[in-house]
Amino acid sequence: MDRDLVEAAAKGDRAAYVDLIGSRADHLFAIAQRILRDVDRAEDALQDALVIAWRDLRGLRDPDRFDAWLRRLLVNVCIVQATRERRRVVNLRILPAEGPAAPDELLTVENRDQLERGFRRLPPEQRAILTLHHFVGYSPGEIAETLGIPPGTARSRLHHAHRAMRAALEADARLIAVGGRSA
Amino acid sequence: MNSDRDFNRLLDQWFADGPREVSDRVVVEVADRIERQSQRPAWRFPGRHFQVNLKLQWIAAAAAVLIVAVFAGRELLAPAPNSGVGGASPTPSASPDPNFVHATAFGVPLSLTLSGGWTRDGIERTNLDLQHGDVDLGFHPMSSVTLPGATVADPWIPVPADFVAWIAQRPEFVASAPRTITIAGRSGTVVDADFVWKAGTAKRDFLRYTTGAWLYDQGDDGNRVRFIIVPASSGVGGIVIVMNARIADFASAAAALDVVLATVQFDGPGATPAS
Repeated sequence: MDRDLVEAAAKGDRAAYVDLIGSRADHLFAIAQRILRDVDRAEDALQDALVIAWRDLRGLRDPDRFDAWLRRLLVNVCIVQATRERRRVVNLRILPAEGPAAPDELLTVENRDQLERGFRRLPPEQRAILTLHHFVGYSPGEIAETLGIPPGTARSRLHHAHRAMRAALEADARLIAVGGRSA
Repeated sequence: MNSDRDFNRLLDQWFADGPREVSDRVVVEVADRIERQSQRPAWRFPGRHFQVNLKLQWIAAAAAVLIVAVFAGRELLAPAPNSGVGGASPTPSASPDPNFVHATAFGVPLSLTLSGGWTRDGIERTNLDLQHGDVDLGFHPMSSVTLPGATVADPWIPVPADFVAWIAQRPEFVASAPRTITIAGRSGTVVDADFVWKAGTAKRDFLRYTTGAWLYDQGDDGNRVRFIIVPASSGVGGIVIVMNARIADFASAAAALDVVLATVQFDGPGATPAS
C-alpha cells in the first residue's frame, strides 16, 4: 500500500505524498524534537525535510526504503539546524522540563535537568546518534547506515556521547555534593 | 547510576519523555509548500544507475579521451611565456589575499575584505556569515528573510520599508536612535537594539528565511543586535545585516565591522565598481 503511495508521489502525485507523510509526521517530529530539544525548531526542521523529500523523491531508487531515506534526510536537516543553533545562540537558557516527572525513581527532576544540560553541550551529530539509539532503538549498524558513516565510527561516537552524558551527570552531582550550585 | 544498564535505562526514559504529536499545521504547510515546489528530475541525483548500452559507453569514453588529448596538445604546442632571447624572467603572480571575500554565490553578490578579527564562516545564497570571536554576523538578501508580525498569531512579514517603526513596536527590543550608513555608495539604516524580554511576552525567533526555516533564535537578556538595512537600489538587491553579540563584546566587534563594511563592493548592474 505505502509502496504504491511512494511510487505515485514520485510521479508527482501531491495528494499521495500528503497521505504518505500524514501517517509519519508524529514519529518524525518526535525524533526532531529529541535532537533539537525545541518544539518550534523541530517543526521547522520537519517541514524543511518533508519539502526536500518531495523535491528529491524521484531520486529514491527503492520505494521500500522510503522510511529509512526520509529519516536520514530529517536527521541531516536537524544536524544542520543544531549546528546553526550552536553558532547563533550566544546564551543558552535551559527551560524546565514539561510535565510531571516519571514515576520511575531513576529519572528525577534533577537528573532530567542534568541530562538536558549535558545533551545540549554535545555536538549535533552525537545528539542525533543518541536519539537514534535510545529513542528510535537503532543499533550502531543502523545508525551508521542512517548517517552514512562507517559502523565503527558510529559505535565510537555513541560511546563518546554516552561518556559525555555520564560526565555531565557526575559533574553536577559533584557540584551538589560540595555545596555548590549547578548552573 | 552504578551500572551501564541503569544508565542506558535512564537515557531510554529521558528520551521517551516529551511531545510525540505534531501540530496538524505542519502537514498543511508542507502541502502548501509542495504546491509551489516541483520535483527534481531523476538524472540530477548522483549515483543513480541508468541503463546505458555498451556502444554508448564506448562512444562517451572515446569522446572524453579525445577532449583530454586536444587540451593536452594545445598546452604542449603553445609557446612558453617569455621564451624569447633576452626575455625578462617571469613575473611572479600575486598570491590571492586570504582576507578578500568575493561572495558570488550569495544572493546579492558582493566582495569585501576582512580585518580586525572578522573571519569568514560560510557563504550560501541566503547568507554570508562572518564571525568575530563569539560574535556572529549574517548578510542576508532582503528578499530571503521575514520578520515577526505584530502578534504571535500574525504571519511573518517581509522586511518593512519603515524598519525603524517596526522595531520600535517590538516587545523584545529596546532600540537606539537610528543612524544612516553608506555602504559602497548605497544608503542604509543602522539600528542597535537590546533584548529585554518583558513578563508575559512570548519568546519567538526574530528573523526567518522566507522558506520558513529558522534563522535567528530568540535573543537573551544581555545581548545586543545591530541591524543594518540597505534597501534595493540601482538594480542591486537589498540586504539585511544582523550582528548578534553579548553587550560586553558589542563595541569592539562593531568598530571592526565598520572597517569591513567600508570595503564592501556590490557586483551586478548599477553596482559600484570594484576599487
